[in-house]
Amino acid sequence: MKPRHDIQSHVRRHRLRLDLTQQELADRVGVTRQTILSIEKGKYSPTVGLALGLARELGVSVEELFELEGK
Amino acid sequence: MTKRHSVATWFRSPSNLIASTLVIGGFLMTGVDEIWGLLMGVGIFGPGILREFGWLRDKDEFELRAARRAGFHAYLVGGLMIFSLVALYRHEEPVIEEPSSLVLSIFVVMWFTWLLSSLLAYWGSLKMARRLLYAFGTVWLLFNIAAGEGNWVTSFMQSLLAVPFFAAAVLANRFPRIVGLLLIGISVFLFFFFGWEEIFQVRPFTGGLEAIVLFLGPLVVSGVGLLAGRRETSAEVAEVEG
Repeated sequence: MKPRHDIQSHVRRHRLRLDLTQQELADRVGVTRQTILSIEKGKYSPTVGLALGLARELGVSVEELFELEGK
Repeated sequence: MTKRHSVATWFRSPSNLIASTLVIGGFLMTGVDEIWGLLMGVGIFGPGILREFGWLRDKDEFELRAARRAGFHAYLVGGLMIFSLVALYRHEEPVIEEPSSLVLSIFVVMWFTWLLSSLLAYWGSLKMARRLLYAFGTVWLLFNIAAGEGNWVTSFMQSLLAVPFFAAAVLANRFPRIVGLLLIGISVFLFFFFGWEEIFQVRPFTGGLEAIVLFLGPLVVSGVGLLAGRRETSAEVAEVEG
């Protein structure tokens, strides 16, 4: 059986730390608010490119934004 | 982003505007000649084809993934339906009184699958169910007002039929399992009450399957969505409602 790579997202915590709304963060990285919402709720795992963009805008590393569940 | 804002944004998108114009224009022109139905096809599928070639970049990665997944789900359901029909019609002598209706039924099933899969990706099962109920109630309300033919008493009385759908949408977050079971029960009742099991027969195929899908489909899917969905907290509802 292939292993599952479920991702736990910390985007919401870091976004709130910078007092950003979902829409503001979405505008900064060039996606829709729905995409940010889905990432924060763990319904969608972003591509490496978007993860790097989010990390840059939130001033943290990708590893601080996302981690493998059950690690 | 509010719901109103998102609708306005959708219409401001040139690709959506052009696609909508083609679909509506094509539909109206079929009154002149059915060949104009081609325009509807271009409007429905054209933007997706352009996106796959990379010539239209109006969706972000989440939206593209949702659209592709929905397309795959439609392919699975449509493919299964087509193979079932082919096997059935090869097994016995085909009796198809309306071939174009048969093709249209397959398309409606695929489109409905695609739509539901997209909504599910954006909203999750519970929110999808509630919004389907609101949409279904609104369509039912407008239909009955129009059917009242100017008699406001008739229109009002018939409009009351939409109230249970709005009530179900409101109660769905509080009692999802009960409302879900009720919706499935109502769907089964309507299926037999209107004698739709006769339309559901594919031999002889006389058309009408798409009417069942579009009428009962939202109810059944809402019911299943409510039974399967996780109850949301008020904070989650407020966050997504914007």
